Amino acid sequence: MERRDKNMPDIFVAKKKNTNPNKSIKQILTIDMPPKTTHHLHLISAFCEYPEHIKFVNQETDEVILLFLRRHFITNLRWIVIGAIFALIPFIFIILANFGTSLIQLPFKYSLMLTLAYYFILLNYFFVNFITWYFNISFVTEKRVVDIDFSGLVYKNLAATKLSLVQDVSYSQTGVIRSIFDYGDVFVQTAGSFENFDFSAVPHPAKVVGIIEDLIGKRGLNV
Amino acid sequence: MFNFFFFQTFQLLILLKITLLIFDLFFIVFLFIVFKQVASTNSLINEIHDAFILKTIAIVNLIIALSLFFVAIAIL
Repeated sequence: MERRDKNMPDIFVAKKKNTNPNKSIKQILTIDMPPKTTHHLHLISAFCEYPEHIKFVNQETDEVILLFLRRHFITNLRWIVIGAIFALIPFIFIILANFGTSLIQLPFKYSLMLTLAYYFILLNYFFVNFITWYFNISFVTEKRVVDIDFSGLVYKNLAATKLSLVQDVSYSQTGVIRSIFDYGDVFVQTAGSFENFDFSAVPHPAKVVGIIEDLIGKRGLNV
Repeated sequence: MFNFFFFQTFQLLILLKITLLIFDLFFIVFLFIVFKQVASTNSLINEIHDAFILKTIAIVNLIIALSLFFVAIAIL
């Protein structure tokens, strides 16, 4: 038999839970969801929550894009530096020509045409690298995960999987540069023989994993 | 007397012109592929804000390549 003395002080009193039986799971989930403020995408956006003015093929009318992902812009530094070095090469030839040490002396119109063609090719090197980065997009919507691969100008692939098929989400962030700029690879593992997803070098990988994990968890409760 | 040095330079310039023209032709084909890819990917990801800019750059590139080709024919 439990005996309780009113004069004795309590060592620990558990806080009363503020439970409201009228509050459904759906309402709780709605409160936990991040605010639906849409963000404007700009030309070099790599991470955007609730992006506006963007739709992908086969998107359902009520399907809202929660996350828009690209590789971190810093990953483009390699081709930018290579391009910049190549842009300086004609100047070396000009300097050599001025000192009279040039190997071949071409007429002016030939030199001009070659220089123009050279810079035009270089411009397209930048452009092709940029669109390769630009069109490599991943989406996380309320219903599925979509990955658009675009590489080498001739390879294009669109893969999608329902969130209910996602089993595990993880990320890896190795290296100094990745830690400084906060980007890493996110792996989305799907059930059975379905294709696994790999979002490489996306910004804020921990946040991405958190959002997808929330979606999977909530989806499980909703069912 | 025939100037062999002049002949060598002339040969080099002709070779350079032909190489430039062939290269330019291949480059036009390449840019056409780029343009097609940009257009088709834009249809894959609709209403993208900057799609218009990229498409314009692709078209401008194609025009520049064509003009370079014709200029090479005309002046070289």
